[in-house]
Amino acid sequence: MTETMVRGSYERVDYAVRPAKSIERKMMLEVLRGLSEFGALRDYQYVGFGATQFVDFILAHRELGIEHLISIEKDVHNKVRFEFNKPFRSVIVEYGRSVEVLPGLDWDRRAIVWLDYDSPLDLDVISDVRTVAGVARSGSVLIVTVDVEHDPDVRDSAEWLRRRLGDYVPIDVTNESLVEWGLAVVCRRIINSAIRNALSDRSRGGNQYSYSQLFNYEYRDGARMTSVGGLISDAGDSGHLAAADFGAISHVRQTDAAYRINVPKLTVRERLHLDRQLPCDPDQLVSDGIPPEDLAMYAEVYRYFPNFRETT
Amino acid sequence: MTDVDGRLLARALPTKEFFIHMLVRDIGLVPAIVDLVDNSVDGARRTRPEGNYSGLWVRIEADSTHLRIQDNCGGIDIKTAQDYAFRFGRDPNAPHRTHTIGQFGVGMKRALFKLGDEFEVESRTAVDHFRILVNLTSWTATPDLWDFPIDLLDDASGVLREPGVNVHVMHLNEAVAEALGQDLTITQLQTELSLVHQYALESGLQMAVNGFNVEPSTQVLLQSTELRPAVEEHDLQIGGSAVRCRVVAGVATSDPSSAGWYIYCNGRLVIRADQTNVTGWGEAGEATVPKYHNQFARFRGYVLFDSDDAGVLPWTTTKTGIDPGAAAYRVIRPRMLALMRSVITFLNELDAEERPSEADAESVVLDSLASVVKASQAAALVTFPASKFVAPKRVARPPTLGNILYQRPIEQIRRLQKALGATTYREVGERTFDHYLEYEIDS
Repeated sequence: MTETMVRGSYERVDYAVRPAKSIERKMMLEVLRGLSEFGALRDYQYVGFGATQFVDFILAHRELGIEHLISIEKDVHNKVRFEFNKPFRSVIVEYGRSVEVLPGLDWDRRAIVWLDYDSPLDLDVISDVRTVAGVARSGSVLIVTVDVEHDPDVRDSAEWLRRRLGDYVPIDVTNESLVEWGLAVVCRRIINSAIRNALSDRSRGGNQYSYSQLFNYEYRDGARMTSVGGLISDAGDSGHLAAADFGAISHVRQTDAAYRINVPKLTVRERLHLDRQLPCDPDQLVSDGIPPEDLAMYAEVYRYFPNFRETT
Repeated sequence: MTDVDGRLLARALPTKEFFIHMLVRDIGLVPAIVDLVDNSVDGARRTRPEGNYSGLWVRIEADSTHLRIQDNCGGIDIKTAQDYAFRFGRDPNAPHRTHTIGQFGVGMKRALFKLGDEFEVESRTAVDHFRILVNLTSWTATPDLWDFPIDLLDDASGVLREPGVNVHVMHLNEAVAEALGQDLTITQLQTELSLVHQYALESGLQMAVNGFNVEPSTQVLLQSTELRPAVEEHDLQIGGSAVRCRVVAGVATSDPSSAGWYIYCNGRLVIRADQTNVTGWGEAGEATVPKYHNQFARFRGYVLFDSDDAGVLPWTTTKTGIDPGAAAYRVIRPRMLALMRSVITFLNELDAEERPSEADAESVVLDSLASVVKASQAAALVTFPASKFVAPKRVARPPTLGNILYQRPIEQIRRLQKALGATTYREVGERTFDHYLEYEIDS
């Protein structure tokens, strides 16, 4: 067991500079605003894995006004560093692994929980998913992000997956079903099943809980990643669910077909030029030398595009 | 009402509601479906008494809307259906069905009632073709009528085209529908079938769940010229019936979740990877055999009970457990303890041995000695010749090496690592030890 395995990926990847992820974050934010139908956003808690950058926490506080901010951090040996990097006074860092920390949080408060793992789907992730779905208050959101990249050393990927996840892997999964983005599809299926499973157990108690998938993203800054998640609500909140009208947002996906986030490589000058023409039909965009596929991609994501500028 | 002597009578006939309610509580969903598949396997056994099941199949379809189990394993004849198969409990006059899995007279009904309230059982033999269609709501509404009407079918009707049985639950109970709609349940069902019916699957029976083949899960025992599992054969007479019993104990790959005892009754796995006192672990306050711990992750024990009279086999009615009080088990258990003891002793010796390197010493020793033999459950387990447990003699080195195990702050270890140019923490320990010995003691 080497040292790099103990510290998190925060020391290897600078989270701010992942364009597709940045777009995904903003898209999610847009969807989360709809939660105000269930209750003041200010009263929600945001639970996630902030690492040292706390990017999603900054957004949650600034854009949604959330004040109850809980970051789960497994690197218990470097508390000083995490405490130093907290962006706001109200951020609380809970040290320990998510399987240890999640059960002990205050679940009476509606929550937005974004379990953004850097790693592939494993039994701990499924355990966390079941924990949250089993206790989150109606009106809460759970999103799970996992790495779905293929290990080139693994030959029999279906067998490998079954050794890792046991009976959670559906019987129809074969090596063929896992090529390219196939693993992402299977992982989302397993995560959604785990959520529904936990909710159906919970519903035995009399209150009927349901899961409305809202988030279904695929993207690839480096490794292929996928995010899946949605709203947990009970029968009493069904009116709020309808009023929130999440389906009206273009990138919300409520079925198995994911929204693929593609990031075209454009210069700042090119983007400003295109922005002035948007919103419009991508066919109508005028540009000098930009391939039409990139124009189409840009038209889809321009509102969420990150601005990275090197300042001198 | 009154009896023949004119006395008043209190009604004692059971209610159907009670029956259904109490019957289905004993068994879980997946075991209930496996129970139904047991009937198909029994059919295969009747059709092919010599034990070669190739060409026979069982197809299971399960989802949130229905459950179907169809086979071509010979079917139930109409006389059996009329007089015995649908009674609650086993009729003492029922013809002796040899060497079966089903014998309590309760499996099929209990499973069907658990699964749904509307179901049909179609059967076709060389001679008969009929169907029994049950709607539990209507059936329960007629409290004194317990029999199920049989519809005779002509050749072209129904779904069966060759001798076999089709069990079809058309309307599932709500909880069952929900569970069968989940991937996890389906996978668990497939896993269970591959374990429980290894023998039948190995013998050529084809089984599929929702179109996906069920592969037998194979048991592996390590064997070589120097390593042989312990094997004993016993012929018992229990309640007038002959019971054959084979006990095998040996060593396999280190896997805590697979380690323990496996008990089969008439080829059907009843308990798997048992690590409890039922199979002897921790016996007599650990005096006879220690409690299971992961040091014994290589242990595999198998007990195969076979009898033409399934009633004397030591299983519970749900076939998911052993009845420790059953005569057959009481006779065999001491033998299990004895065979287990010899393997445990070997595993203890292995554990106490000095480690030649960082790598797992056991694996190095065992893998270099043994060639892995696929002990495909009853087939090969049956063929191992009777023998005592044989293991390579532990190299009787007088204890010359000892283990030093201690902890120090990582920061200090790293400083030493750097200074010594050592690659592992272990090397830091070894070299600092050597250094002190050389410069402070021996000089």
